[in-house]
Amino acid sequence: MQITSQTFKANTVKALADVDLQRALRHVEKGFIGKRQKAADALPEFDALRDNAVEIKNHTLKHLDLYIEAYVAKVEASGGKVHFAEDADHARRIFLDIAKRRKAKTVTKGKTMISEEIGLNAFLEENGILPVETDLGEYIIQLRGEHPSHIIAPAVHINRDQVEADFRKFHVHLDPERDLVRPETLLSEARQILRQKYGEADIGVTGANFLIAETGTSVIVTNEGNGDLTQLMGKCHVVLASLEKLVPTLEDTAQILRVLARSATGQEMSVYTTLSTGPKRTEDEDGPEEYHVILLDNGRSNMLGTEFEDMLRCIRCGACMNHCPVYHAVGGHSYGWVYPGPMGAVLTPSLIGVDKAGHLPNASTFCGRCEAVCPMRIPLPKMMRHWREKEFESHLQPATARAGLGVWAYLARRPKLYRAAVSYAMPALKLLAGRKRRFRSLPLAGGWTKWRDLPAPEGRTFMQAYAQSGHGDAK
Amino acid sequence: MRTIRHGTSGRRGFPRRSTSLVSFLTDVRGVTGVDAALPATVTYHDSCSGLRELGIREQPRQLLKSVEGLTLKELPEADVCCGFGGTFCVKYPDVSNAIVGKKAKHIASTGADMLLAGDLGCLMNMDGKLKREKIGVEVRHVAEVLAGMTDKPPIGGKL
Amino acid sequence: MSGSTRDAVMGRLRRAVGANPANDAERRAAVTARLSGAPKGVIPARGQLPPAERLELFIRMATKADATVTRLDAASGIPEEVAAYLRERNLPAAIRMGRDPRLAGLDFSGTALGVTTGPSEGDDLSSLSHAVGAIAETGTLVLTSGPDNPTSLNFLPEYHIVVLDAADVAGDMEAVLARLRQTHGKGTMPRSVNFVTGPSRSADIEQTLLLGAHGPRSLHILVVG
Ligand code: SF4
Repeated sequence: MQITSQTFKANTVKALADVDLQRALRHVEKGFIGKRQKAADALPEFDALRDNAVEIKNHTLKHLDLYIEAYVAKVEASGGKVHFAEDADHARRIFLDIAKRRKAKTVTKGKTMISEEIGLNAFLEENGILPVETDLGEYIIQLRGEHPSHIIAPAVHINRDQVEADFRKFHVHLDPERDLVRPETLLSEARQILRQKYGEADIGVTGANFLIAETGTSVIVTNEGNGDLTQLMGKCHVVLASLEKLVPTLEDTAQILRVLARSATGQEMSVYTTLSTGPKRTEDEDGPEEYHVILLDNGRSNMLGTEFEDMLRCIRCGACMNHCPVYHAVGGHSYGWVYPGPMGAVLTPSLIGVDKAGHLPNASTFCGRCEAVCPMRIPLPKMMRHWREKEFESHLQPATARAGLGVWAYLARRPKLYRAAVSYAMPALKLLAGRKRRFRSLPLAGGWTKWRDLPAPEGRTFMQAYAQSGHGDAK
Repeated sequence: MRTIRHGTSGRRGFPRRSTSLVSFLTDVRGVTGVDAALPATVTYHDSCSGLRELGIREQPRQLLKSVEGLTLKELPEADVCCGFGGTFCVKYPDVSNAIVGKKAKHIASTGADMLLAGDLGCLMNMDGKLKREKIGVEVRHVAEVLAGMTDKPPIGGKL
Repeated sequence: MSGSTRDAVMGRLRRAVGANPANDAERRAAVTARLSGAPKGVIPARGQLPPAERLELFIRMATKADATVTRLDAASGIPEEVAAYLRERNLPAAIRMGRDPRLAGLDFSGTALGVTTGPSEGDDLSSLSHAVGAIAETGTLVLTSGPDNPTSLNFLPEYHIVVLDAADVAGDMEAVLARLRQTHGKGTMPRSVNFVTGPSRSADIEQTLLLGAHGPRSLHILVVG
């Protein structure tokens, strides 16, 4: 996948002017926030479960080498195989080896972000293998030649009308006069078309929400059932997962599951939680003949033991982006790579380099809403600050930003100084502003005055006035 | 001290050592009412640092309700960031504008005469947008109202 | 190739977590203890109820997740109930099921139902499965793969009817997992364990919830006992 994180600013300008996108983005705010809150409120133990989920993951990460050892042994004992992949390219080659051996022509796919991370679809096409996305949202964006704009709602940037137009354009074997007004008809049309694909597939690919060390099990959590049909009918099940998906036991999985669905969609439990262990057994009458796990590192082992280790707790629930004002404004594609929103702002620089993704941790208001809702209590704003500091240190910011904005940043982090600076500046600003006491443009403040007036308040600040009126001792 | 009523839990006096505008509000924990008066309809924006870092939510609302003549109209999505974000608003002005634009619409929708908040950055940001959009809502620090100081000109002047 | 990658990745992990010969025994002991002890964590109070109320909670939660539920006094009532369910929905009088002895022993001769056995190829409208258990806390059914109840019956047909013994309803997921461990042996699992909460759905078009995405449109639960 082509990286466009470098042009984040230009991406956002385009996104803000995109009427369809702006209309679609409203569904994020309307669709997720209230539901999550309701689900959290309905479970008195929700916060205690979050705490325990954090502990489970922290314990796992501290012993990740040993849990992976145990996991691999269990997968092998159940007749499956684990392939370690260093990076995206390596993971693709491992996949191609399996596909060649199976003489695969068609690959069905359940939702997997790792597939996006390694750019599997384009690679398969180059190698004459047809990838078919089966998640409804993924199917829609595959038709459009796009990438997911959200980690759990990949087509959230698209409106119903656009889906109808795409279906008419691509499903040419169907009656052009057919009625597709109701979303239900769109769904059943996709269902019908994908039904045939499951059976035709030589390989079924899924991601994994968890890998369980105790049993060598991979877990997927879905609502549609496509991930299940993919792995069940595909003759050979390939799981794409990254190192940090490990959890110790079945019980640990149950704990984290309780916060996952609630944080993601506000469901008490997703419709299908499926635990898969190895290929079909001798007595089984259905199921895949082979079971492979491609275990991807791609930079994660380098995050372990650093200030970014907390990010490896992420369970990809999407709550952080669902609650992010920046994401609401510009959508997922603006972030320019696989992972958008606050989790992307932290993860993307780790995985593709801060030189390419430096905008992402900067483009945050640090409002803290992501951290407040993150089920794994990942200090996302703190880690974005880490990235900003690293970027600043390595002089990756333009000189003007370092000179001018450094001062702003410095002040903004120090309320006392900020206040003092504002109070000293105010009388001067007042003079400048003249009678209207408002600026419509001001040198060095172009970013501000492009869209807003800059107030030039009275010659003293509130705190000064407050102090002088004898109410308190404000400095 | 003369203008503040304390609740039973209040042990502290008026925030003498108040060193920042935000901690003004945390310092008045235990204070249940003020003797200020303001015959106006106001709406209140929760600043992110106050709300999520310091846990200030009910306190200003409770105090505002004790202001004589004041009607508090809740702001839709009051807990959503206004788009200021320090350097963010000058580094990414277009994104910041989209966020504060939504905020301005919500503010206008309340029909309030006055917008209050506890953070100077947020106030300047929202005021700038309201003025640019010619939405005639006066913008003030919540402390100004609680301290009965609304005779002074508001932050961004009047429209 | 993969072998050397494995060594490289594991080496990096060990360095990152600070593993060394001095702490090796202690770290291994911690991991072994967790894997064998499998501590339970926080169990929500919601499902911790005496059997009758637990069953009621299960039915309430399953219904909230858009499943339908019918209670039967005895398993002998299943054939007639299945026939009535299909009739009411104008569905063909045909049902597919696995070789579960609890279903194989049922007498369908009093109904007009055509019964077929074995996994589905995708052309069955309705299927019948027997659950191994259920979770009251969330209204979730638990099904395991195998010739008794092939997994394809859970996903391919549009109407999925599931028999559940009232006695198998647990309060929480952990209780079900403990039971699975007992049945299959510690550290061993059937190929597939399906936790099913309501019929299939998607909200991928404008976040509007639609039932019947790829799996069943309808999930009907027959609680026996
Ligand atoms: S960072 Fe937290 S909120 Fe965001 S996807 Fe990961 S777990 Fe969910």
